[in-house]
Amino acid sequence: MTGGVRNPEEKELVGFALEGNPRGFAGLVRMHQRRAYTVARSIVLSHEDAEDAVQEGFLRAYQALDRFDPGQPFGAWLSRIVANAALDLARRKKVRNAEELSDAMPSPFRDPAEDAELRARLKSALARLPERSRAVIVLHDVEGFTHAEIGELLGIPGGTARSDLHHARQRLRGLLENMRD
Amino acid sequence: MDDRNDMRLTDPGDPKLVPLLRAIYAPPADEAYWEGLETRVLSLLASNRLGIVQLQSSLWSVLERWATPGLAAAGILFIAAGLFLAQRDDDELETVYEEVTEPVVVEELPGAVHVVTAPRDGSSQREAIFRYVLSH
Repeated sequence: MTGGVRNPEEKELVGFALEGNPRGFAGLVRMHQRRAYTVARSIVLSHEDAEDAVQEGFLRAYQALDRFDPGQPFGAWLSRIVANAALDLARRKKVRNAEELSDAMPSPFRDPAEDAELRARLKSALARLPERSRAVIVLHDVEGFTHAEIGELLGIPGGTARSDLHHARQRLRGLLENMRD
Repeated sequence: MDDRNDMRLTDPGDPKLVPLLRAIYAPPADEAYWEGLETRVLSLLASNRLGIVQLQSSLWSVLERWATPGLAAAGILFIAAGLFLAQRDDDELETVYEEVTEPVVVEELPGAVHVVTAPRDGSSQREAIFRYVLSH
């Protein structure tokens, strides 16, 4: 994540977008859609929901563009909006039956039977975690964000992200242990 | 912002789980997917922008149509509210006037001495003398 670093191209695109030039916002979408997807995917339970959250996030950002401070990095601002859109979506679509969720999540690769069994349990356990716990695990362990960056993305202090990660991992391990029994 | 001394370096997560997590959460690798997503986002923005413009223009046309009747209704409401307030003030004034002019009734306490004061103008004194003369 670029954090506070401002990309000159981004700055120019933000300027165009604020002037109402459609090319400006289109360039920002192209520049930030992958990170927006990553943030959304860490919170929701499926690829399809992540895509919906990304679209909703960009729409909200576009509608709130007049409130954006051009002195701030656009990516961080957008990520917070996308994270909120994903959290809203996850709360709306919260499904308590982990078995159903396990079936609903698309498998991106094939693996040996042991891994497949563990992966199925992992999906079920992840689905049982609260959205924020799931998000800190994915953003940290999968995407490699720091605690401070996760805090910035989710609108929480870095120390809270650190303790959330610790508790989320404990809970995930506990859930996996329970499933094995 | 630098958080390099964080738990990640000392606790990178379960080595068996992290590869599985990465596999589950891997973003689409196909470049065509991202081009498609970009197109969908921009289409959504375009339709929303169009929607906002249409909504704004329709709102203005509605406002224009209802401007005169709306102003007339507001004027009538204003006058009615003024009359109502004036009427309420009169009623309140009358109530206060009545409260001030009514005699105060003081309840007698048990065992209190009943004191009769003689009238100062002497009229009742004359009546008492007259009654005394008639009775004798």
